[in-house]
Amino acid sequence: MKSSQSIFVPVRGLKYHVRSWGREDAPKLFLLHGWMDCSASFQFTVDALKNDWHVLAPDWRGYGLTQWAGTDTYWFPEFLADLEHLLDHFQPDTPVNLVAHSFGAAVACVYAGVRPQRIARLFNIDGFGARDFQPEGAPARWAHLLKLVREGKRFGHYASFAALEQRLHRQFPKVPAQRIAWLARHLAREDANGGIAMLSDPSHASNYGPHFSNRLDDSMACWRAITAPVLWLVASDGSPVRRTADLSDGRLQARLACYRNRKEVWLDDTGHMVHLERPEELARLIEEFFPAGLQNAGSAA
Amino acid sequence: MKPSTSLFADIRGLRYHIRSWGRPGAPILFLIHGWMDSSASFQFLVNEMRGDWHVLAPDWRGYGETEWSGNDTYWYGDFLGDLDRLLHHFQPEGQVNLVAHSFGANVASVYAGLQPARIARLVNIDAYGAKPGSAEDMLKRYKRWMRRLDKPLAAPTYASHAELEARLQRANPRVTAERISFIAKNWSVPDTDKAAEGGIKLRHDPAHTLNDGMDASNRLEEAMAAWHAITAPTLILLARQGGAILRAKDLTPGATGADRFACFQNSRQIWFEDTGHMMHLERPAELAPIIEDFIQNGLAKG
Repeated sequence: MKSSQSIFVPVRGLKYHVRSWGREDAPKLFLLHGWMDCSASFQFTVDALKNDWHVLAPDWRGYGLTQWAGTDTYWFPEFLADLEHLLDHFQPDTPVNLVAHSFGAAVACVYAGVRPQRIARLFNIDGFGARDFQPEGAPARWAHLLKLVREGKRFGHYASFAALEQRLHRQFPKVPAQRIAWLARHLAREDANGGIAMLSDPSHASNYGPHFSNRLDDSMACWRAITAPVLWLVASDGSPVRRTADLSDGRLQARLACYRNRKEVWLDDTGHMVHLERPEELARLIEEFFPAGLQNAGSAA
Repeated sequence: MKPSTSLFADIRGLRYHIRSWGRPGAPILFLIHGWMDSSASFQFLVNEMRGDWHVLAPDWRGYGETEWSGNDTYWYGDFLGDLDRLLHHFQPEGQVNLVAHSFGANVASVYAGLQPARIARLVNIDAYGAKPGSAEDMLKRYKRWMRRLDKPLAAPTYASHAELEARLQRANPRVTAERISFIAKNWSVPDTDKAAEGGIKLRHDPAHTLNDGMDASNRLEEAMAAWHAITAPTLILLARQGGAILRAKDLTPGATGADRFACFQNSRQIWFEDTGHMMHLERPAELAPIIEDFIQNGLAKG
């Protein structure tokens, strides 16, 4: 297993944790995790990379070892500004290589349209962007968010790592037990009472804030503004969002079509957690997509 | 001048300041201020009220004496959440009376559509709701918002109270000098660098000026859907030289003023001639009896 270093960076008032693998002067790859995940879950993908990379994977605000926001709701655009701050911190002068999964990809793909000149290449792992909410449903959605705010945080506790592993195994049946065990120990830690406490801010659990403040039509306008090549990796049994009605029929294609310069790769018999299920395949695709010539983009300046 | 007392409440982790006038135990009126304003501005409206009320006026997060959020951007949804918690804190049961101005009325009007059963009466003072915005506009808003985040924000400073008063008087020519002086005192604090020479700065969080963040999180179509869902009688008080007229061109691409107000099904509009946006400062003596009558009798009378 390749060892990672922990870097802490102040980002908009929060102490961000960024996991770093590889030589600092190697070409950089930014890996962005998704909802209810953490940077450590990229370990197996990083292990499978063959080339020399400096991999930087932040824990988003309120996840992993990054500070919680101190609020009861996380809003979608906060992640855009955090991403910009992180990229400017680590690679201010040249376009960056982004690999992003799920919710992280939703952020990265909007960001790539807002700041097209900052992106060299973008690898989207099973991220389908916003839900297709209609304005008429807004009162009910907002009322639901108020209810969640009213109920307050519900902290995630488990009796033991074994109990958490069981839950993760049910959720991700295709991920091998050894990786589930690793993931459990990075999603949670032992608490003072001998139990296990989730590291992620329970405010993420409802996830309604980011949902409501990320509209599909807005995201699509941003996706159309992307100039960088995009690889969209679609897991056949992937994103739960994909299975909802708003991605049926031609709607998935309408989303894909927003990316002018794109390549689609479909992985059969693969669930949403591609980086945990098929890290070798993912690493191979990543290294094919970020070719040797572009590997130097990070150190060109 | 009727004296107010200051109450403080923990609202979603922030220490909120709520100005209270009148008799605890009397029927509650919530007065909700607008952007770049504070609860103190309702002083003159409260002075003119005749009824037995318990008036509660919060300073929104990052305004007046309420704590700043600590974040570099304020999001629309947080104001909905704060209002919900404030109402719960002071009046957990039954129906509430909301009197709200400008941005405060935007929040209150959306809220009234989210929790229609919680609202007895809604008074919307010169508020027209969100700016229209296409998806492409959102892309521009995100760009402008993030560009501004790179630049440190500082509260505007003034050499003296007189200088701030002159600025406020120019912006609000119809407001009397006595009231201008009152709000200037309430809106400012000593500028620590220049306190010895009488320097002052605005006390609200300068992050409130990052309007692209707010606009990005307050969508016109969603606000209109919420307005449709309001069941409470709604009184809409409009200034002829106020927000609607001045911003009509900006607002019309999404929905005209008439389109917007048509969403409020159980409502009545009253226009005030020769009146600017700060109606509570300009015409408190005329507003107060209209508001009190509406709270007591609804739309049926008057």
